[in-house]
Amino acid sequence: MAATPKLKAQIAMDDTKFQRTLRRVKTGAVATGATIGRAFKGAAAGVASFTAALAPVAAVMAPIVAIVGTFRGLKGALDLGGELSDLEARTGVAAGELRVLQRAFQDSGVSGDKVGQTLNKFQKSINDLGNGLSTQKRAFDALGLSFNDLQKLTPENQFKEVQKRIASLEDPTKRAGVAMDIFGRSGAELLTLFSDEGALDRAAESIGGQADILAKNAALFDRISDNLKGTGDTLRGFFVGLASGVAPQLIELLERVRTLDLSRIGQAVGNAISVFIEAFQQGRLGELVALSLKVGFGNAINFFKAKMVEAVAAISDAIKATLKLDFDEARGFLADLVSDDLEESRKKLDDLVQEMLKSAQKEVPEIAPPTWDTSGAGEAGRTIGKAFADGVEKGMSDEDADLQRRAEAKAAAQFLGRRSGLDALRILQLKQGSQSRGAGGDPTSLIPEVGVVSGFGRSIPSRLANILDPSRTGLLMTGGRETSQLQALGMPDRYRDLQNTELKVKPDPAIRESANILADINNKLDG
Amino acid sequence: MTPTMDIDTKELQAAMQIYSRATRKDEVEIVNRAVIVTLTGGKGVVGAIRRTKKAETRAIEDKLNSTGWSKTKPKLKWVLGAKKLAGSGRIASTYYKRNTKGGKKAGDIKTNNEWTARVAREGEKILRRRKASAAYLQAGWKKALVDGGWSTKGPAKKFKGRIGYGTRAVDRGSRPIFAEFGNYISYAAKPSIGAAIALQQALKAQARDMVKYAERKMGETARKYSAKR
Repeated sequence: MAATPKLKAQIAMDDTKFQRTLRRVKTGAVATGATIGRAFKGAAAGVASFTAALAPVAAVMAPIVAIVGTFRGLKGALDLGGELSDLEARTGVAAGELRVLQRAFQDSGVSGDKVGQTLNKFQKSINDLGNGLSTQKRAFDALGLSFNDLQKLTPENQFKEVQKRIASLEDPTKRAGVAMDIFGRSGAELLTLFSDEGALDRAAESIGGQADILAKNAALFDRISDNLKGTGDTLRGFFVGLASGVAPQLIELLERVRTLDLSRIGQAVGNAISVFIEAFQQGRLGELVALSLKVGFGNAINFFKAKMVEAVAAISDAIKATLKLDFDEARGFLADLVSDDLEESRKKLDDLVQEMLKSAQKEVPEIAPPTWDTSGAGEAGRTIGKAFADGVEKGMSDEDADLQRRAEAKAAAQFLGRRSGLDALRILQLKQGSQSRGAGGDPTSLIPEVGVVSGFGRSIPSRLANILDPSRTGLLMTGGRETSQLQALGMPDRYRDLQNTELKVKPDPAIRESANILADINNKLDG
Repeated sequence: MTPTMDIDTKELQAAMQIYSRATRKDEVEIVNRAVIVTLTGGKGVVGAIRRTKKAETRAIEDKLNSTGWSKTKPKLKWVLGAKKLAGSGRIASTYYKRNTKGGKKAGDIKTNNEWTARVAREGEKILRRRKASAAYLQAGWKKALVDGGWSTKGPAKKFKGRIGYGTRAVDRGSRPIFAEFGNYISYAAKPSIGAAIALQQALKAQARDMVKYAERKMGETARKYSAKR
């Protein structure tokens, strides 16, 4: 008889691992959504039209905006270097390793700002261990580590070793106890990190080459960051002077632009990505569902790839058209600008500003400040507004068919009597999986239902509210008493029948408001 | 050595989550109940034991006579070939040559007819053994049910030894609640035997049944509290 079982099964309701993975994916999706949202907010679909129509204004503004935007990113990197350099002095851990730890903390749902505090507490615990304090001794004994062992390691390796040993403890109660003995109350917050042995390695992978660059240049970045703070006033002076000349002409345009909320496009894109990622994640519940979602996810990626390529091309064209510089050349120029000699950098910056002003006057000689010709600005503003409105409307149309299916699936979920979308998801996935297997049907035909329901969490109705167009019929916005509403509509009691049922519209106030704003803008532009 | 095979229970896990919300039953009770129904079956669910079928004689013969088998176990093929072609001198003499030393016949076999009869008996024995293997697997599951305290009805007395094991789900405070069961029979994980498929099918059937039940219960609750009533 064999010593090990040849066929075995473990049955449990514990889905901790599943939930942990889901949480990580959600965090990533939110971050990705926000990033894309910001990118679209700046670019949007109408960037090209905007720039072409506003050539006179853009000739002056775009180079400045582009340079300032790039500077802002550069300054962010320098500030990060400065912050890590200060933290390195506080903890003795190399700047590159600190960046990895920050990322690992963020992945585990803890703020990256807590790295310094946690490391200091950890070092105090090691010191207490050396002094023979009983609590620390008990905790480190449980991990099989002595003071001498730890002394031989660098600070970052001390942390890594302890993290690995805590992760290897099987009993979760003991794990929590040891973590809190060593790291104090923040040990409890870090349990997610401690229960995952590979967390630091993954964080290091995602940070990539940044860690090395920061390790080498953190001190230099710190110096530059501190000195750059002094240049803010110089730049501010320039903008004050510029604003006094063009303010009256720009006010009308800015008023119009202010009423356009482009962040909604970004939010829509972010939501769509998160929906697909969640759908993919949930697909783990069944092999067939996973197969279907692979196809759906691939389509989503292709869709976003195409959109991003469009946006990047539009930005690039806009910069090229206005700056009259090759992008690489501009990057090289910026790299050159931030030289080791800070005095020289400041001088170069001054020269750049002068150069830009000269360039603007050269481009538009007939409208040199302060006698600014506004004849083209009104027309340009109309064109911009129209372009943005078209872009927004187009975005809605593209999403429409899919959204209708989502609304129907949501209705189905609600009709089955579930408060939580997750329950409905599980039931529908299981049902779809078994039906398809039994009938030997095409799994890809299940994508709309499965993919859509997967994305429905508690916040989905509000997400839909942000992007649905109330003027379209056939959409259902469900609220708190959807079950009775559906019964009032005479809904059949099987999910598959819902697809052929016409649902009524119940617009959310947020949609109505956004639609009114758009209609108002369109009316003004047409009028 | 046959590798150990873990059966995927994610689908049942998801079903149990839904079931627990619909019924408010204790987690330990749900898990233990799931094991019993998965193995023995229940209303509307065919369990793994009943799904582990005895093989048909013809299927076993086909398998043993297939090319792959004959390459690794030629002797068995000859035995079965001899049974199928009872009285065939060629098959019998081949077996005879392979089982004699220096021209001396094995045992007390004197004639070709005796030899053929002997070969036929051997073939019958092999067939019986293979058919019994399904019963052996079923006995492994029954042993697991007894071992885990889910059932008192064990396998037939002829199946002895450690052929199955089970661990009942119990509430151990902060520790995770789970039940485990397994089959020690050496060929249990072999794809050709089909025991793994039977177990997987039973798990899926159990999951579907739980979801169906939970769905009905949730629907009842929803209708009960509906504003339209």
